[in-house]
Amino acid sequence: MHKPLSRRQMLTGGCAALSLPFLDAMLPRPVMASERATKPRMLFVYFATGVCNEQWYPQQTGKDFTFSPTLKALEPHRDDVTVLSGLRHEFDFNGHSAADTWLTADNPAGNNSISVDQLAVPHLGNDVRFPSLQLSVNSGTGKKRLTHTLSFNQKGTPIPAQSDPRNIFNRLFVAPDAKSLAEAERRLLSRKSILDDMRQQVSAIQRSLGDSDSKRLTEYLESIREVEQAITREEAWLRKPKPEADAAILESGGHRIATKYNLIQLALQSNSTRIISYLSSREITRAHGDSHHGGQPEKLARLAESDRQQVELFSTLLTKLKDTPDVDGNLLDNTMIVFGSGMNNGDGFKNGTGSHGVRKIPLIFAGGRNFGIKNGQHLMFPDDKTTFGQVFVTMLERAGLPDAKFKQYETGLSGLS
Amino acid sequence: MALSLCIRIGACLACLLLAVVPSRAEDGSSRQLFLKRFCVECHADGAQEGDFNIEPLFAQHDAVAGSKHLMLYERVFHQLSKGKMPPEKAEQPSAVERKRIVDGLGKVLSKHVDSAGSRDARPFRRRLNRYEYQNTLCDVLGLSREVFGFRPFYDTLPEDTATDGFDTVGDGLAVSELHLELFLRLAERHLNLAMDWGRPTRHWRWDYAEPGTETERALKSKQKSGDRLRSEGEEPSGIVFFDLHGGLDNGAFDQDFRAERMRPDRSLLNSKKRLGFPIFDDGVAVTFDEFQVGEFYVTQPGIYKYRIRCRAAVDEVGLENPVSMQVYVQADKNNGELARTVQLPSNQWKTHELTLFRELKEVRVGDNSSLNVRLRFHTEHRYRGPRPGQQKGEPPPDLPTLRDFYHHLVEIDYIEVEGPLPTVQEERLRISGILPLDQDELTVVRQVLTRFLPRAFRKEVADEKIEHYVERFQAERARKAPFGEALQATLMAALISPDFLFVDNSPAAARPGEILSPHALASRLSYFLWSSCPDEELLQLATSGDLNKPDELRRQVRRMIQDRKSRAFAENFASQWLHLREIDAMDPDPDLYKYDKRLEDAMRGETLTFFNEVLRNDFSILNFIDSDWSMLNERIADHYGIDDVRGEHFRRVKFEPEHHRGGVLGHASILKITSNSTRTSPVARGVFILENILGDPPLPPPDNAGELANKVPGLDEVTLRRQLEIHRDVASCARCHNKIDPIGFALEHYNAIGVWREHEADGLKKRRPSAKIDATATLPDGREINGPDELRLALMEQPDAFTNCFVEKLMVYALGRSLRFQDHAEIARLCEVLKENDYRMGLLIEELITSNAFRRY
Repeated sequence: MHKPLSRRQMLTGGCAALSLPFLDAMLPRPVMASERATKPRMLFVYFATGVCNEQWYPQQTGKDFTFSPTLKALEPHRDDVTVLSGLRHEFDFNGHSAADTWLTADNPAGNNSISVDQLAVPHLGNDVRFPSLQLSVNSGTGKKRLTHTLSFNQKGTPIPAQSDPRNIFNRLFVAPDAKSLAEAERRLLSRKSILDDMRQQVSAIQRSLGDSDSKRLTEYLESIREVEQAITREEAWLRKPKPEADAAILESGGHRIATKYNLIQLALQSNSTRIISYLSSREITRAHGDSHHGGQPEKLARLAESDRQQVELFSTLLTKLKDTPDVDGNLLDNTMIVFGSGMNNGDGFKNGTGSHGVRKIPLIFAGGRNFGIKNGQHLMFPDDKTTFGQVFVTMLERAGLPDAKFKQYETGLSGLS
Repeated sequence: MALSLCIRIGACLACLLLAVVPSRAEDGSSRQLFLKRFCVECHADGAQEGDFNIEPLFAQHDAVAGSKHLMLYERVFHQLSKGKMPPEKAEQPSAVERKRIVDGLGKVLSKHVDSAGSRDARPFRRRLNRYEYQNTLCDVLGLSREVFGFRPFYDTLPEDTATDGFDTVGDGLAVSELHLELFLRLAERHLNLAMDWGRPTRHWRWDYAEPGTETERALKSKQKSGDRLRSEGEEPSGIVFFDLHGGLDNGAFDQDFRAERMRPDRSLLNSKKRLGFPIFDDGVAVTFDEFQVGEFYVTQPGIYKYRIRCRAAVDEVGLENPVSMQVYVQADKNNGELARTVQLPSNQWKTHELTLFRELKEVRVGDNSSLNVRLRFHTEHRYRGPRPGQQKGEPPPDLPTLRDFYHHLVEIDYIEVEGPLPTVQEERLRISGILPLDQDELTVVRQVLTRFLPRAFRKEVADEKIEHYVERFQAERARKAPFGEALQATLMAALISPDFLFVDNSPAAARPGEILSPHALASRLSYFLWSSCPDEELLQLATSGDLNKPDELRRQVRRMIQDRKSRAFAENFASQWLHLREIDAMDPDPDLYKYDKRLEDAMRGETLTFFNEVLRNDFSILNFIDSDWSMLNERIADHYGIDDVRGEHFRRVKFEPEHHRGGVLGHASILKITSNSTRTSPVARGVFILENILGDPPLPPPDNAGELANKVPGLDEVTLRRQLEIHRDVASCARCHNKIDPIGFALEHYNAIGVWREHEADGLKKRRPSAKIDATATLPDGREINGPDELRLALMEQPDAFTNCFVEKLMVYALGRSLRFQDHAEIARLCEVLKENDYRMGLLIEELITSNAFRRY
């Protein structure tokens, strides 16, 4: 395996290397066209408060299903989507907290742990400018059980998301001028030396300490190392040109979600990143009232209408990805997408009176043809036992991760690949 | 099965043995026999009910040697001494047996804690949580929290994990690369603000002709004729009046209202109804006008001073409704942010001076960074909705019409803006205060560090360490960084160093049980009461050693409680104890409840200021379970149906019995937090009382508890009480809910947003008749009560459980660690002291701080 050597490793590793202070091996691996073909993209799109069940779930299963009223807009993409019905996460909890654990499959009552997108980062994110992107309707991390982000790091700490389309655009596509470049370089250098200094200080303290304290300091040291790696990466990318894009897409979307989808499409197309999580709506909205529909027709109608709008926007994204040529076909074929919610606000697949459970959550899988994903079907898992986590295993496995597992889940979802 | 049979036989044998030698003293083997008889069925042999397994206790004969065993024994002790185990339906030990094992375990635990120290509090470091980090940064750098407070920087840091209910507990405060990166970023941002290199201050002023009687007369004559006062595009005249931007305090009605105000006959209002509600309940009509001037260019973030001279004018009718001025700061043309609200006294000219922090958002492509002043004047008209008997949906007679609002106007004399001013107000704290350089730059840097590092690290800093940072500075200079940048990088290194990030207990010399160093004590004290670093006075007392004198310590505690910074204590302790941070987790269904942001703020405000009032006045902590007063402002008083409370500030208001309020369990905040969005949750309320008032938290539900509705068809058709009875028929639920649910029903007279009610009219009302509230309830000790008033009485009759619970929570928060066995003796002592001293809160805090638990490791 090709693993970048840090400068520090070199310096501390042996004096022979000292005469060659900067080796190519220390740079992040360059992006090569031939490699793009072999590495997939992953996209996770979450929306809040579930759906109007009876309008969402198709009546038939298997290949010959008819699109339901809500999913009608996906008809043109029939061969590129799979409706996943009946999946759940392992832990029962209030559905309004579902976003916190949507990608972590953890117990919302306890402390969170790493999300699937972050698990894929070492494999898919090391040779692109942004190892992963977190987009959201609200920026930052939010609160526990009311997250603003779908992504969580190794320690279960939420990774702050970005919401302002223009900031995202700037980060992805706007090159800094010469002055700010020089400033940025000096800043990174200074940070590196600060961190280096801290490492020495901490190691000195650590030697004089008992075990309970050294745990926190070890964490601290590990963190220093990781930040240093991030800085090295940032340095290496600093002077590489950013891909070009027209800022007009920020105005052209119409709906705020459409604008984000435009950015997502551009980010994936330009290979700025391969992994994106996007929390497209949060639980505290007007729609929240409707999700407690109690079986009332007018609320259900409002829910169904907003579902339809969601799906239409999503369908537009799929069209865009499909229209983007990429290695071995189009971008959609190279992107594995999960689109869905974390809550079932009906009774089973019926509307019922609204339960806010986290079993039988509405999900759509899309894309990934070049990686062996089988689409064009309605997969039904009525047993309340098959888990969403298995979808993650399939994705990791298809992405080529060695030893593809996700926490307690070891097997992928049958029928999806 | 076979195994469990063996154990049963074993248990019988054990039983026999015990019966044969009843006089035998409690020792290791009899302890094991007890455990085998009463505990193993659920907690050993692969079974671990409640996530608790005692198998290790049987693994070696001398089971108390290792600390892990002691930890298990501690939990056993806890369960047995409180009579929580074995569960009701299982075989019970006799009172004598129970006492013998509890006493024996107590002896073992205290012996090992005292001598070996393995279970004693050892020195530990804990990371500052995000509130503490933010506060410490500001205090160390001399940045005013008030000035910067309107945009909390900690929003950019992820929420910290709470352990045992509090985010001050070190175990939960992990460090990851993400934290470090964010700390770096925040340190840089704060340093940018604090390192003020003397930016040129500019001055802007907009003058309006002193509005005299003539203007007023003209205005009034216009008003009579009904003309619009200002047409589009006209220059601002310095007179602000209230026109059609009206709205009701419930935003949902805004559209109807706005449209209807245009019609003289208000006919539309007559015809519309919303889901069974009359369109108008009692309420507040809000009107406002905006006033926007100038564009001035801000190139540096910093402190800006605004001076606005204006008055709210009175007309002949008399100005009844107070006028307030909201000052917005704007990052660009479209995005404003409310910075301050100021009440305008009637008919008096006054210059309002505001100090605001202006920050430039990230500079955007194609944007210029022009900023302007936006003022919004705001008045409210209260009206009463239709009375009973009146037709529903009929517009209230008090609801103002279009013309009414011209009675109010605001005159502006001038607006001034000055800035940027130095961000650090206190000379002493200014990093760049001793610059520019007329000495050798290393001397200057050494001076800065000698002043800065002890403050940042909250202790005396050895010369070598100072030299270390001086070298850092030199290294930066060697890399050709300009002086300022090099100094900033040096300070930044200090601000992400472990000395800064961790609350430190001088690890080198500390031993368990040893008294804290005075500096460590100063830190523990200030993070407890201020959520920030010690101030100059505390550090000086630590250095002189006077802080260790009990009298001085008490004096400091009293000083600290009276200091403004102690608000952080309510903000962080009370918010977590009473779960106030969850208040915005869910919005009540807008079709069912009249709820808005202002009410939410008022709810939170009531509870926080109530806590502060008890703290600052050294009142009894029993006020938290019963009081005949609370801290109310207009919005929350309105919510409770109490008239004559005006204005946004919270003041003490006495309750009458018919208000049915008192104690925190009558606070709308708590009642809202323990409800769903469509109905109350007696379960959540029961859990809340058990956990936070009685200190007897139930176990969390099993991972796969599932949804009740899916299991019982037709569940919605019955009352909530009946639903929960059905629920308790499920055996796995009954175990805990038999205790939880009955007590929660005592609060059923409060609806999901805390309004008093006689009928259950929430959520599912459409499918069943609205039942009369049945608030009969059973306390865990078996006492029967009816409604919140009796609940309060019952809690006051036997306050020990609450006192103990409160002291425990306070201890966890104050110590920053989970409680240990030996802490319970200290807690018992504090409870005794409280009992003998009218339960005074201030005294409790003094006693806690001078206790061994607080002053030692």
